Amino acid sequence: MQNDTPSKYQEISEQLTAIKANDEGALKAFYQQNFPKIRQYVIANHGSEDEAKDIYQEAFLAMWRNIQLDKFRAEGKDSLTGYLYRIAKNKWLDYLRSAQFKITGAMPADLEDVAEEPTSKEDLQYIEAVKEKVKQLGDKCREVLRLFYYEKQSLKKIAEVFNWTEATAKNNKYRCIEQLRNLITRKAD
Amino acid sequence: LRLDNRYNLTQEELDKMDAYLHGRMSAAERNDFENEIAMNAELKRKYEELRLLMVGIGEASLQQKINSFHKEIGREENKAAKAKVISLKTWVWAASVAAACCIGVWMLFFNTASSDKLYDAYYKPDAGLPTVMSVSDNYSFDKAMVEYKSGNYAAAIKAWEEFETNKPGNDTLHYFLGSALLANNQKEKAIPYLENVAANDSSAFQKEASWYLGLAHLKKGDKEAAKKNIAASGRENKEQLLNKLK
Repeated sequence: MQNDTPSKYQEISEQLTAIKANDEGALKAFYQQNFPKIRQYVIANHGSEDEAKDIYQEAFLAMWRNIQLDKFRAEGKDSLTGYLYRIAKNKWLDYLRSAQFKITGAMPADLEDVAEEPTSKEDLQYIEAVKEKVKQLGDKCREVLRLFYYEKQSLKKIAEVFNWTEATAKNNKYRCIEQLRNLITRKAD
Repeated sequence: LRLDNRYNLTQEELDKMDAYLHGRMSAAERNDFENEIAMNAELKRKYEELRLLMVGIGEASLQQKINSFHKEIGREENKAAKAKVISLKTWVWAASVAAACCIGVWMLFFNTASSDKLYDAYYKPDAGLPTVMSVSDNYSFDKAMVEYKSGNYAAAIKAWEEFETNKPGNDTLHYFLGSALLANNQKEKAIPYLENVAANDSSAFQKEASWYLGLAHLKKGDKEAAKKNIAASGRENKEQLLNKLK
């Protein structure tokens, strides 16, 4: 059994690298492979099909976010699947607890410390603000930022996409990030 | 980190941090940058902010993507269910053939196997091309390819038809436009595009186009045209289908 560990470790670390790089195939495969198990869990625990989907998507994004922010590392024997499953389970328990709280008015006792998202509240708020404000950018800015920060394309490629010079692509990236930052700051005022 | 980000971010700082985040620095540069961040609290704050910007921008994209991933799960399940039906059909068919052989009505049964059924059994949409978003010309083509691969055939058709108006005659475009139309049950419109590619000796898609062209004719009920084109394709199972069409 011990012989499995290095290859298992390697497998997780390859998966992690691919997800961190936003590799579409890896994200899609991982998303689709793990849904049935979590769906089963939620439905077995008083959830509906729609709730299973919502909780799973929330958990998936949280996992992705934590990978991006280096809050999950392939250490020990924790597999990515197990990690995603735990996040989803905790989210579902939180949801049930809050629903129960609304009904009974009594705060249920904490079962165990299940904090899976060490990202601070302020950081999460900032990320939410970014997600919201990105929608207000012009199409080109949104696309430049998406290609650069999500698809991890080079400036050269982005310049090709828009028929710009590389210098223009670089300037526009700066201009667009500044626009986005300004939109976020304005909200905070 | 608070929502208050009112400090000045210069383009130079941004480019440097981007290079670090994208892994486009040499080991020495990385080292320098990491030291700089450790020493300079303001720069560290800017770096932390940029990471959150990156995550927020990414999450907005990913959220849309996972919705299309999810839609596919439903479709895959349907496909699996359909495949089961087909295999059951095949089994019934095999059993019937055996029985029919004995009583000498095999041919009679065979003729009732409709073109539609054969089409359903043999038709599977082309999986599409990998999308890389590289050259500018390929950009909207690739976007449409993503739609195609997600099963949004109508959206892919719309984008590719525009492409065809602006730059007519490309065999890759014709092949996928034909494939998308066929997948969208528009066989009549698919046929001319597939014909172009099937007649194009220099196209890499020629043989595949012949296969789909044959199937499109089969769907139409034109067995002769179906046979001719299926025979010109490179599919391993073409003989099997041709035998059934005899």
